[in-house]
This record gives sequence, structure tokens and C-alpha cells, in this order.
Amino acid sequence: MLEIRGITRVFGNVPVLRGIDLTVERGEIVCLLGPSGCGKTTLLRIIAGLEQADGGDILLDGESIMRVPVHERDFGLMFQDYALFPHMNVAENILFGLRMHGVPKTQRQQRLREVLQLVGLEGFEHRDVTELSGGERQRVALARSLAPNPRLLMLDEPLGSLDATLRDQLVGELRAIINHAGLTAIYVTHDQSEAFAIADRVAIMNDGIIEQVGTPEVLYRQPRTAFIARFLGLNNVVPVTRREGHHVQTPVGTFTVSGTAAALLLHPDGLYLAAPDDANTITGRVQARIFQGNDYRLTLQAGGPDDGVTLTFRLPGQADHVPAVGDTIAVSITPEMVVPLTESDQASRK
Amino acid sequence: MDRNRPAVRPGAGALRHGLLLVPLLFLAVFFFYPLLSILSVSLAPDGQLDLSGFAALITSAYYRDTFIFTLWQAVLSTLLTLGLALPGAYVFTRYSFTGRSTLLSLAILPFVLPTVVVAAAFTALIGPQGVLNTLVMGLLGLETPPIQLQHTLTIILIAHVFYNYPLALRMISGYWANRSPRIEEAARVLGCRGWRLWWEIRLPILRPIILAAAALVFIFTFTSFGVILILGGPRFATLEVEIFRQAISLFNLPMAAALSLVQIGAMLAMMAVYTRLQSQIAGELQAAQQIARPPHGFREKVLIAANVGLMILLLFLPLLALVERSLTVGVDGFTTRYYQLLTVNTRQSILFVPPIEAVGNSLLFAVVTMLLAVLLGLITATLLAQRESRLANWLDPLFMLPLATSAVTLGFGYIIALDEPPLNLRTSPLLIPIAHTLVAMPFVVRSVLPALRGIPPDLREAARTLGASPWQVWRQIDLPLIRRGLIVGATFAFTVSMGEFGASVFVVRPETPTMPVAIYRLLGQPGAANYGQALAMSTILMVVCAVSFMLIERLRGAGMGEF
Amino acid sequence: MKTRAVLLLLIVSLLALAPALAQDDSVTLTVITHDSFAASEDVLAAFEEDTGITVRILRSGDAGTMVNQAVLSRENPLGDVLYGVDNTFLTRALDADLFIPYESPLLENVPEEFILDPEHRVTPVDYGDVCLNYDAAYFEENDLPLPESLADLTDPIYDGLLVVENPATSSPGLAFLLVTVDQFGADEDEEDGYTYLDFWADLVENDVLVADDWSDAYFGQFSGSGGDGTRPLVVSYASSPPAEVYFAEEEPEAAPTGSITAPGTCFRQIEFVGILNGTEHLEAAQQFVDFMLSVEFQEDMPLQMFVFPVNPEAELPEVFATYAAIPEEPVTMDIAEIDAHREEWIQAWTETVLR
Repeated sequence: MLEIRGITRVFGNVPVLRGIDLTVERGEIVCLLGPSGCGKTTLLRIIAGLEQADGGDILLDGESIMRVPVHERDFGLMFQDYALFPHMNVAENILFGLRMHGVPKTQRQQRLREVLQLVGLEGFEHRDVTELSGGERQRVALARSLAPNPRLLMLDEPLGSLDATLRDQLVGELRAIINHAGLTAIYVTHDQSEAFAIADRVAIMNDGIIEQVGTPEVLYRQPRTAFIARFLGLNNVVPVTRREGHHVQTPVGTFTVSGTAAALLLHPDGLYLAAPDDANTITGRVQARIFQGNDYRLTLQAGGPDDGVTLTFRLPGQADHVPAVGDTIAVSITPEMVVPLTESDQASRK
Repeated sequence: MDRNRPAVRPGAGALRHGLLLVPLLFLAVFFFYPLLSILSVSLAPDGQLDLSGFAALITSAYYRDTFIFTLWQAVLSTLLTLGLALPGAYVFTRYSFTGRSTLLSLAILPFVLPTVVVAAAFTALIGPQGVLNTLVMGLLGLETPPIQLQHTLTIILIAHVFYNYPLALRMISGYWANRSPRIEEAARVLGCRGWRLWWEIRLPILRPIILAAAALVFIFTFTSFGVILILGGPRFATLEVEIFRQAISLFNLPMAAALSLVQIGAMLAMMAVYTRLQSQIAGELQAAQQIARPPHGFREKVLIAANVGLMILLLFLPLLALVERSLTVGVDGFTTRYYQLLTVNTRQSILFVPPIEAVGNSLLFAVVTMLLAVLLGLITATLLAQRESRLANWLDPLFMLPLATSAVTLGFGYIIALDEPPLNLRTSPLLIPIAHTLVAMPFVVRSVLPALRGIPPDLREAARTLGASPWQVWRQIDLPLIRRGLIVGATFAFTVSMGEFGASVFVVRPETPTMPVAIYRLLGQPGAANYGQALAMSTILMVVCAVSFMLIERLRGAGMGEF
Repeated sequence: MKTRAVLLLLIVSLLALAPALAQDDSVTLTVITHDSFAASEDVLAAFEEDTGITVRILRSGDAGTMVNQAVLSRENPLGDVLYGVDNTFLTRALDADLFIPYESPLLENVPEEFILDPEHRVTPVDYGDVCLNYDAAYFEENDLPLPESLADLTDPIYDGLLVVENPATSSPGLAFLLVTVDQFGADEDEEDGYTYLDFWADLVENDVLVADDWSDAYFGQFSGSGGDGTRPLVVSYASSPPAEVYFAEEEPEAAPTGSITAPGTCFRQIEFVGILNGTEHLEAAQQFVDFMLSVEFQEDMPLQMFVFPVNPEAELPEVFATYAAIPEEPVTMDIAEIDAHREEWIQAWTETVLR
């Protein structure tokens, strides 16, 4: 439905977006995930029409929308700090878009009831927005952007300013609401778990480009670059020191992979305590042991003194034997959990 | 760069610049054209440049002293006014108490009163035989009046505070009420209190409006005329007074022009500093009722009492003295005779002004002025608020210039510039609201601009994504959010016209006498009855203004919350 | 809704201004005058009825402002007739070539002393004497003799009693300065060497108060009228005492104030009317000048403007006859002399009195 082609944007001399390509299908929730400063908000604002691209095109249902003014795009945008109109009450905020679109009054009231029900704010119509709690404000902001039935809903860090517990609760609700409304949505966040919880597909952005697009499962299991792996909290990235065909050498041993690799991810989910007769084990010293209820998280220092790497993996909480800090242990890895990583896409940078 | 720039707002740029032309054109025709005409006639009477005025300026110690005094008293007056108005604004923003909004809207009353009348009120209060001196002399058994303020710098400063305190109070509290209290709360949690709270939190938050108010007060007092002339007496002279003296008494136009240019130059320098200081650190907008609360405890009540007491002492006591005198002049006990006399044309004079007619004329001019000033001021402020525009920094001072220009100079400019059709407005009543608007517009711009700049941009963006066109965004978001500042600006525009600021702009006074004109006429002839009627008319002027202020406040409208 | 209301308000108020803008085409004679001008409705109406001329009065500040504005707008005058230029500003107006000569037949009656321009570019209409006024009650209560000459004012018994106007900003102030120049001389080389500046220095010694305009001096500082002033002596007009009686709340038994009319203490201001160069209604303008000299207008003036008629046939109203003292030997001064030295005298006065 929405097709983004080669969007570039330069602020002064600094390129902020360096050729973004992305397609969003109807009814899909796509998440733009990346650290702050990666350009995700700028991209969102360009899609919304609030900012102008220096190059590239955006097509909606095959037609370019680059020359359509913001207020005629029929997109909904939910702002990071909600941008609720302080001079209007809850109902007036929510009905603003409908009013701008000239929807008749009776229909507006009908829609107000629907939307309030959808976000669970029945009875809040006449409340002043300044009296609301963070979660309530967030719902009003969502309701406001949903009310005019936008062709595309965009959410810019909508849960950013809420506390963790509330966030976990709301992120699920948010997805349910968007799906229930049958909306296509682009969701911007820097929080991986939030992205995975809400998105059908996630586009990971770094330094003005999209490094990988995929379902949360694919991204988690098959991150394409070291940046993505690390950003997703998969820190067991080991450098490749030598390459011979499918065999690559690393400080912690030699692995067989398909394709070329600049580095390897020894996926934490694939590491386990080696059985005594296992070959190809990695030996290291336990640096830290953290009990997390379900499991233990062990941090291992492996490799030589000059090219040592830190590996993390988990042991089931009920394991018989749990190594203590200082112990030297051996671990093995399921071969399919060795993920080859490429360089970040340097070619498009310059 | 522009090759692929989408026309997000088609034609918006052209429209924007087209709109900017309206106030600029107004300024060009009714300000710059007359001003430049009189300056060129004065400085080059026979086509030859005569700079003797400037030569005299540079060599004369008298003019240097005049300049220094002008600057000095303006700085003192500004500091004093802001020093008193800030705590006042704090009290009016933070606490709700009985009579708060009435006090606030009545506080502008001093602004409308002619200086002669204010001088009379001050004399009645603190003159050698005034209430205060009589009281103190009686109490302490003194022979001579202990308070001798006549023709001193002190009385000038008191009068300047009297006139300008309301301006600063209204501007600052109007802005403050819409600032978020959260930053301050955060600071308090972090242990910030007392003067540090003021210095590190409140003043920075209020900086835009404090600077705006300071700029206005400074310009006002820098160009002070009536207060200096009447209360200060002949020993004090500001540039404005000196310009009047040179232009009217001595008819030395080159000198008057030179002084006018110095005055304008000083003002421009001040505005340059102001623009530099005026940074965009606007806090988050907030509805106002969050902040105001009833006072708790003794200290807060004392604080409120002190500020309200000051207002009563400074503003309302002189006003009350006027009302009292209008009922007691020339008789023992009370009489309403002067009010009755106002309606009787005892001498069948053609120049008799029935009070109803004067009230009507004043209101008519004031309403037209207010609407014109609000319209032009809003356009101006909206365009100036667009930060990226460097042009704004250049244009901003231009719109302040009319305030800083000697009324006499401009009035002479009108004579020689607006003398041909279609602009032969010298004797037209239209010239009155036009000239008033020139002076009133800066008030609207200064009250609105900080509020406009303080609107978080994402509110506008949110509105746009929800389908609001640029016009609708302005109408639905900007306008309601600056309403408070706008009301303040509109009230002052109205007041400027009611009080006939810069009345000497008028070449000739068309046959539409206003209340101040009637007051001046009454004061122009001997006799207690004339004096009594002048005071009665002043009282009527105050009442009409007070009622008008309340009506303007109502424009805020229901359902707008505290905005 | 609200926008519409505001627009409506704007339109309505502009409409309200519209009638004032409408022009009508009958002969309208525009008279430029100062703020103090006044006349009776029926007197003016009678003139309009007799002649078919509509008179439009435009007031334009005080006398000085009016003259300056007329000089500035001489290329494109604001009106047809200018009334109110007095002998202290006359030369400025004459030098600027503002007027067309016209010798009214009614001038026959007017005493020679009032006709200052032999070419009749201006015609005298009225005169007034700037004199010291006193608060009668004060002098009585304190058993103080009235000053009988200017020199008396420097007597310590009058210490702190006098308020005068600044000659730089006030017309009676200038007149009083001219009296002192006339009485004490401006020339230091004269025999006694005592000049007007020495006199003023003595007045300053005696705590003279200077106010910037007549209203402030009279209502703000003088104790004899309605205000809260404390000074029993003020520079005002010989016609002020009758005005005090006329405008008293209840008719007083005796005038609350009086004027000192001793020789050499008053200055005679004569006000003139002139036909402005460039008028398109010369005949109407001449008719108006005649009208101003007519007995009807001359008799109307005293109670409207508190001035005295130049036409001796005009009878003074009773209150004037009773309470106005006409000085015997008022000071007059050559208008050319005034014009030549005005600035210099004011400047020197300012140096002496204000600094």
C-alpha cells in the first residue's frame, strides 16, 4: 500500500536519511526500530508530510503523495508527548480531526463513542486533558489519531514517556486496538521488546539507512549485521580472523557457515554447557552469574589473552549443576545457531 | 535542493508575504512616509542639508545631560516597575482570592488618564496640603509638610510606575498563567527554593515576557512627556520634551529633527539588544487553573495582602482621590453638581460637548483602534513568530518605532505628507483611529508574540495531520492559545485610544470631541466649576473604561477553559 | 460565530465613521483656530443663516502649535481663515507669508493701538491682559499687602507664594517674561545694570515655582481656584477673576481671586484673524472677518473665551464689568523685537531659573 523509495534528507551538511526503501502492506504494523538519532522520526515526519525529503518518492496505492499537503493526506500521527491540545477537553481533542474533515455532528458523536470505547475511556469526554494521567493521555492521543479513520496511522514513540509496567500493559492493548480498527500502521520506537510486541514486521534503522526488515522472529534468529545483533541484545558477536571457504576462524574456534561473514553471532539461545565428550567446545571462565528466576544468565570470558571475547548464555533455573563465578567451563553451540554477520552496508554511505 | 521539494502548502509562501504587506504598507503610509517627509523638510529646508542641529547636539553639554537624564530615568523607571510587577504577577498567577480578576482588569485604569488629571490626583493625595501630609502633620504636630515631592525625580518615578505597573503586571501574569508549573515543581523537589527558585527557574521561564514588558516600559518612559512636564516640572527634560520645545516654542525644526533621530536611534539600539536577549526558551503551555490556588497559611496571605495593598496604594488611591475631588471641589460636603453641569450647555457654546457624545466618540475610536490594532498586530506577530525568518529580526523593531517617535514630529509629518488626495486625511476623523493604531499595535505584538513563540510546534503539526489547513491551524490552535495575550494586547490598544496617547499627533482635531479632549477643554479655562467638571469627566472616563475592560475580558468566551 | 461578530463590529463602526467623511458641496468655510476658541451656537448660526456659508471650526493645538502647523502647510493650507495668532507669534506668521491682506470696513472703530500690521494681513479681534492673579482669601487671612509692582515680588514677605509658567512651553509664561524684559531691560550696560535676569534670579531666591503650562499652574499650584494648590499668586489673565465668579458653584459675595493691574505688571496679548493664502473662498473669508469684528460676535467673546473685544462698541457682560480690572498701562512690545529676541530671552531665562 505504502511504498517508500530512496528517500534522502540532509540537515545542513549532515545526511540524516540516506536512501530509505520500505514497503508497508495494507493492515500491517511495521515498526521502525533504531537508536536515537538514526533518522526514524525524520522518516516518519516525511511520510506524514511535516518535513520535506531532499530526494526520493513516497507512493500510496501507487500514486506519489509528495505533493499532497499534510492536511490532505488523511494520515494519523500520534506524537511522542501526545501534543494534546491544552485548550480542549478530551472529547474536543478527539473530535478535532472529524471537525476538520467536515463530518456532520451526529456522526461525530457516534464516532466519539466508538473511539472512546475502543481505547477504554468511556465517561472521560468532558475531562480536561491536563487532569489526565500519563496512560490516559496516551489513550486520548491514540483515540484522536484513530478517530478520523486515517489511511495510515503513525505512532512516534507513543509509549516513550511511560513507566515500564504501564508500557508492557499498553503495548498489547495498542496492538489489539490497531488490529481491531483494521489500520495500517507505522510505529517508531527505540525499544526492541516494544517493537517485537507490536509489529508484524520490524525495520531496523541505523545512521540513516534501514539495515534489515523482517518479522521479529527472523530478526531475532537471523540478524544480518553485528549492529542489529547487538541492538537486539545479542551480544555474542565474535570477529572473524580468517576465512577459508565455508570455514571461518574466530578467537574461540573455527565454525562452518554458509555465505560470507565479517563476524559471527554465537546466538545465546544455541549455547549450552558442553557434555564431557563434546568436540569443538569453547572454554572460558565464568565472569558473572545472574539468577533471573526461570534461568541463570552466565557471562563467560573466552579466547586468548589478546583477542578474548565475552559470551553470554542461559542455563535453566532448575539445572543440576550451575558453575560459580571463577569456574572454568566448556560450552558447545548448536551449529545452526551460528549466524554469519555482514558489515553494515557501507556501500550506500558515501 | 528545491528540485524535489514538495509543495506542502501550495502558495503558502506567497500568501504569507502578501499578508505581511498589509501591516508594512500601513506602517509605510501612515508612519514612514510622514516621518521621512518631516525629517527631510527639517534637515534640508532648501534642498540643502542643514546639520546644524547635530552639531549643536554634539557640542552642547545641555543636550548631553538631557540624553543622559532621559536614559537614566527610563532605566530606573523600568527596573522599579518590573521589580514591583513581578511579585504582583506571581501573586496573581499563583493564588486565587476574592476580587482577583476584578483587580486585574481594573489595574489598567491609570493608563487612560490624562497626565494633568493624574497630577491633580497626586496633589490631592501627597501634595503639600494633600491627605497624607495633613495626616502626618496632624499626627506628629509638624509645622511644614514632611512629604515634599513636587518637581522631583521621585514623583516622576512614582508616576511612571503608576502608569506602567499595570502594563507589566498584565503582560507577565497573562503569560505566566499559561506556563507549565512542572518545571518549577521539579526544581523544588531538587531542593531549589527562595531566591534561587526565582533566579534559576522563574526568571528564565518568564524571560521572553519580562523582556517584552521591559521593552515597552522602557520605550514609554524614555519618551515620557506629560509626566516629566507636569509632575517633574520645568527643571527636568527628556528628549521628547526637548523636541516639543524646539518644534513648537522655538520652531527650530532642524534641532527637533536631530533630536527625533537621536531618540529613534536610541530606541533602535535598545530593540537590537532586546532582540538578542529574546531567546526562545518557552516552557510548555498549560491550562491556567492548574496553577492558581487559594493561599494557605499566614505567609502566603501576607504576601497577597502586601501586593494587593501596594496596588491599592499605588493605583487605586489616586483614582479614588480623583473621584472624591470630583464630588467635593469648591463646596463644603458633597455635590453631584459637576456631573449635572456636564450635560448643560450653560453658555450655548458651539464647542459644548455633551458627555454622551464624548463617550460615544471615544468608544467608537477605541473600538475601531482595537480592531485595527488586533488585526494588524496579529498578522505581524504571526509572521514575526516564524523563527527561521531572519527578516523578522529586522522587521520587529520597525513595528515598535511609532511608540518611540515624538508625537509632535509625526504630527508635523502628517501636515506636510498627507496633504494630497487620496491621502488628504489631515482633517479627517479617520486619522484618529489610524494614529491610535500606530501606537496601539506594538502592544498587541508584544503581548502576543511571546505566547505565539511559546506554542509547542507539535501542537500545530498534530492539527495538520488531523486535517487542519494552515488557516484552520491558526484559527483552531494558535488563536485560542494566545487568547490571553491577545486580550491583554487588545485591552491596551483600547486603552491607548481611550486615553488619547500622543494626542498631539493630530494636526487638527476633527469635530469629534472625545472624553480626553473634553477634559482638556474644561481645564483650559479658569473657574472651580470647570475644574470640577474636568474631574467629573475623568471619573466618567474611568467608569466607561472599567466597564469596557470587563466586556473585553468576556470576549475570552465560555467553554475556552482558562485560556 | 465569534469571528463573524468581530467582523460585524468592525463594519458597524466603520459605517459609524462614514457620515463624518461625507462631503457636502455648499460653501464651507474652514476656520483654523487654537484649542481655546469658543463661540455661542446662536451667534454663529445667525452668521451662517445670513450668509449661507457653513462654518467649519478646526482646532489645532495651542496658539504656537497652530501657527507652526500653518507655516508648515502653507503650500496646501488646511483652511481658509486662521484665527488666534497673537502678537508674540505674529511675526513668525507674517514672515511665512501666510495671509492675504484684507482691510475690513469695521476696522474704523478699532483703536489704532490694536492694529499692528499696517498692511492688514491680519485683523485684531480681541485682547487679553496677562496679569498676576491672587487668592483673595489668603491675602486677607494673612493680612498681607498685595504686591504693587514686579519688584515687590522679590520681597521676602512673598517668599514661596508665586507660581509662574515656563515661557518655553506656555503663552502666558512668555507674556510674563516679556513684561519683565520690558520693565528691567535686557541690556547690562544700562545705568543700574539690573536686568530682567537679575530680577528672575531674585525671584528664584524668593522660591518662585515654575509650572509647565497654565492648567497645571492655575489648577494644580494656585490656591485660589478649584485645585489643591498652595500658592496664592499666579500668572494668569485679567479676565480670570470674572471667570472664577462666573464658574463658581454658587455665586460668591466677593470674587475669590483678583488680578493685579498696576502699571508695568501686565502684558497685553492681542489676537488676530487672517485670511489664509490659497483660499478658494475669499469672499466668504472676508465676510467671516467682518463677522468677527461685528458687535454680535464681539459681545459674545468675553464669556466664551474670556477675552476683551477690540470693538469699543461692544458692551462687556455684567460679570466682566464688575469683576474684571483693565490694566491702565499694560506692557506692549514691538512684534519684530519679540520675534528677534524670543529664543535668546527664553534661553537665558532657562539658564537662570531652571539650572
